[in-house]
Amino acid sequence: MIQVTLRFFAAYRERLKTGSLPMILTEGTTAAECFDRLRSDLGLDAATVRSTLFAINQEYVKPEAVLKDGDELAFIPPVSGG
Amino acid sequence: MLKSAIHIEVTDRSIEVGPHYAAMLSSGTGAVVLFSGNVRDHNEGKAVSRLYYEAYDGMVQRVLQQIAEEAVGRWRLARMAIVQRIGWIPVGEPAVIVLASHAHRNEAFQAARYGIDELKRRAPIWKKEIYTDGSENWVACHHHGPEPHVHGHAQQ
Repeated sequence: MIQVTLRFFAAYRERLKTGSLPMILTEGTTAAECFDRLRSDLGLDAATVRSTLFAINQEYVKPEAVLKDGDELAFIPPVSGG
Repeated sequence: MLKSAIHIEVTDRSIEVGPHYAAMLSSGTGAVVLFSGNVRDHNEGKAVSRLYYEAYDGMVQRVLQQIAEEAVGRWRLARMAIVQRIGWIPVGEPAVIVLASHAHRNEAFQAARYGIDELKRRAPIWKKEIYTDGSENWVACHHHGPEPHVHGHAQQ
């Protein structure tokens, strides 16, 4: 098993009422698989899920990126800076 | 490339344009372009009273640094600065400024444009609009995302 830290921002942070959560996962779990486990808690529709990006240790990664022990995985909702 | 040619800042204080402009100047500078993105009082037909900006601390600085390095390298800029304000920002105040300096104006214009466009496309920053009627909404700009090879899911 591995432990990762999940990070939430903006609407995701508000819905979960936290910006950070530890999670225990089996080895080989991908960023997208981890996100799927939270979909119902986040109350996300399919379009929002499709537009969510993933970052591991503060770098954008593909959804199929495999998590390692100690990783920080961030779910990035559509950005709107500027 | 000189790292000192780039200034990246994420702050919860008011942005003062003057010192950032002054920092762009050098004897070889023929042009400075300064873009400021300000909080306006309306969006999509609703009256906005103020905005709340949130960023992924750590990652946002890395992404802005990458964007600035790309611009400095591509247009051979003398200097570039990107300053993003976070937290509550009242109507009328700048939320972000992008500055580019070069010997000539063409490169400075293009680089400043690149800087703000890329920030809006891929910097992990979110804004929530608070309307005068008390309602609120996280703004989602759907026409962007990082490079296709790292995009989370296929876009239609």
